[in-house]
Amino acid sequence: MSLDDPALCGIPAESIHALLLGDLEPADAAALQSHLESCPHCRAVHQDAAALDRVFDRLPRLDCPPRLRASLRSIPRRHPARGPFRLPRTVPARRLLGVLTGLAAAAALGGFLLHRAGHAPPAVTAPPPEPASLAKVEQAERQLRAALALLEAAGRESAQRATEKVLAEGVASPARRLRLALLGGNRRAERPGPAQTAPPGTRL
Amino acid sequence: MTTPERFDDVMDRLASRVYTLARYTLASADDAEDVTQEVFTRLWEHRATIDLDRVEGWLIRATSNACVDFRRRRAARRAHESAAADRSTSEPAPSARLESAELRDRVTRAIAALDEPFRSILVLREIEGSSYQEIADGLQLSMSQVKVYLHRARARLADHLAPLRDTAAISHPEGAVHVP
Repeated sequence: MSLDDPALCGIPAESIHALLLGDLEPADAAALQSHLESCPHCRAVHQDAAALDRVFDRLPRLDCPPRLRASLRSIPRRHPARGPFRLPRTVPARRLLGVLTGLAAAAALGGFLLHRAGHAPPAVTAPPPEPASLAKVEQAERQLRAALALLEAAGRESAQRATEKVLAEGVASPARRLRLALLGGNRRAERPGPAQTAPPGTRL
Repeated sequence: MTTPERFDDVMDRLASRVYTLARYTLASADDAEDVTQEVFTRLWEHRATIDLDRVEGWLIRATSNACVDFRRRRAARRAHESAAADRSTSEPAPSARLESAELRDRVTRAIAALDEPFRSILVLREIEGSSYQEIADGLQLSMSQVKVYLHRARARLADHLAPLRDTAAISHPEGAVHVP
């Protein structure tokens, strides 16, 4: 007997399995039980269903092999947390990130200022750093801090949402502007000559 | 926060369930180990977003999906590995003595040949003994859907293996089943 040959009585095999599992409403179960007494086809299906239960009783739940279990235990060691998207949610870590960012920006700015001071001719008082360059550095630093805050917020919501776009536009671009701003200041410090032309639009 | 110790606890409790589901779904011990490894690695990598108090449902879902992906990848390589796959699918369930090894192998292969979600529901209910609610939560189905799929899966399996009632190996169920 096959599912492709529906019984003439119209009772689907699934109903007989439902009866065997006790998943029918009492009234339906009673009606089907009564039907079995007079339908050889459905009786055969019922016998197959009962035989299937005996087969299932013999299919064991399997134990995870010891070698596999040992390998699973080593997963945390083999996959340590890394990357900006895995920032812990603890407050000290966020503060640490802010402090480190500020220190890095301050160190970069300090290096830039020292470099300019070191290259000034001894007979001429070193001019103060151009407001434009300092403004660019500070602006780039602010943008970088804002981008890192957005990235952290995205990571809090879902690490998966911190996409490459956020990385490219939110972090790499401000970081690039900061670098350019610092390099631009260094190049101007290396040029000979007393005065330097301020960029157009700069307020002196 | 999920520590390695908490991860170990989850793994100790549920690794066998994951392995059993994968084993009967893929009918291969090696493939089941790969899937089990993949599922628990994914659990560790996404531990910050998973509620470990309700991890059973996540593991059922992840294992079922991983098995589907694994079968797709295996099908793509089938031309080169058909001989090996034949050997692996004929592996008997380990550490179990049954009256008829041939019947056991037939049933294991027949289960693996079912479509999803019939296959996962059948293994979870009939072999792992999961409740309807656990299966519904794990596969994100309603309880009535789980029951309907289970009845249908059993009917398909019985039809594939028919006529079971005439098989001598199961008509006298005195044979012991040894589970390590």
